[in-house]
Amino acid sequence: MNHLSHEILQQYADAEHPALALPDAHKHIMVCPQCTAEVEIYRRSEAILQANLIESRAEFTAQLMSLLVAPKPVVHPSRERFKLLIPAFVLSALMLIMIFWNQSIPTTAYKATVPKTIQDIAPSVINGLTMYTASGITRNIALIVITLVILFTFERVFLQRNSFHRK
Amino acid sequence: MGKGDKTIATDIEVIKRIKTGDERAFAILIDRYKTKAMTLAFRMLKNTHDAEDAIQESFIRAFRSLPMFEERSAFSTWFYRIVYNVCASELRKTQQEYVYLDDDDTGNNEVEHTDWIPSTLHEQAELEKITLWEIEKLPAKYSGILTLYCFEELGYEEISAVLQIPIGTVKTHLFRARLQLRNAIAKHYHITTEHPKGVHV
Ligand SMILES: [Zn+2]
Repeated sequence: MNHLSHEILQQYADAEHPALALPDAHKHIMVCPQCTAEVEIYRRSEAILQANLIESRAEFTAQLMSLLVAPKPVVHPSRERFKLLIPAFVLSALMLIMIFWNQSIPTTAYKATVPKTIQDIAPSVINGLTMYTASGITRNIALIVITLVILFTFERVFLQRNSFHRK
Repeated sequence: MGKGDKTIATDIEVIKRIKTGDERAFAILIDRYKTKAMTLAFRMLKNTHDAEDAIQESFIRAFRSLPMFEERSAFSTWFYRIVYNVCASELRKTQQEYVYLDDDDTGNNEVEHTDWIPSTLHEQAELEKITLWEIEKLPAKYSGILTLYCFEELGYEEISAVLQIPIGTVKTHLFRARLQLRNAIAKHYHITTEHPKGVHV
């Protein structure tokens, strides 16, 4: 008996409805144990390949993700504090310059430098400023301390929010 | 598109998340494709260590190339192409044969037919052992295409896209690869003209 070619055997093994797709081959297979066995070998070996997949290590995904997506750099809290100290000192220095510059100008002269419209709109502000320039150095230092306290408070809040986001 | 239609939407959703800044979503794609990628790489490179290096390299390449990924095609096809190319390039480095199928490379074409069908559990387990043993021994060019063929989401069209060869060529190569595996399995059963029934090893 002439057996089916391997091309036909493979097509038969693949077909969803082989009897309909390959009727002549089907007739032969019905009476030929060798060709039936060949079809089975194709089907079973490929089912084995399909079922036997190879797993990678369990930690593969986590390790690869750590390579691909670098974690946010952890900044030491003292560094962030240091970063905020710079603007704090700059601000304090500016305030000192402003205070001593104001103190070097007589109250009346200072009043004259303020635009007329502001004098009209907010005389209380001018009065406050006048009193401020006339105040002593102790009060100015107290203001610097208050500024530093505000900046450090802001820094604490900022750091806490950051550590929350890192989680 | 072929059998992969069902997964395209989900993969594309994940890719959109990654593209909009949620890079950690790439872990979903790694988990989804690492086993099949590992299987393809292992069957081509023949050892676990090289296979894992290859799939790691493939995922890194895929991650970096995601902005260039065109969402018209399936991520799976695009990704398997990367895995296949990484493995082929690895084999090129070690001077092993890999991709091209020579015309007369099917081994013995005059194969005898057998009427032996594994029926008992023991015989079935033995066939499994032999099949997995023989696919490892097949050249990468055969084991690679055969592995892709056994991934249910890949039809001829998708395999053609992975290997970047025409569908007609895919069919020819697959025929040879399947026949090569069948011949390798048949050898275990000593199928000859005189003894077509086959004998267990
Ligand atoms: Zn026959």
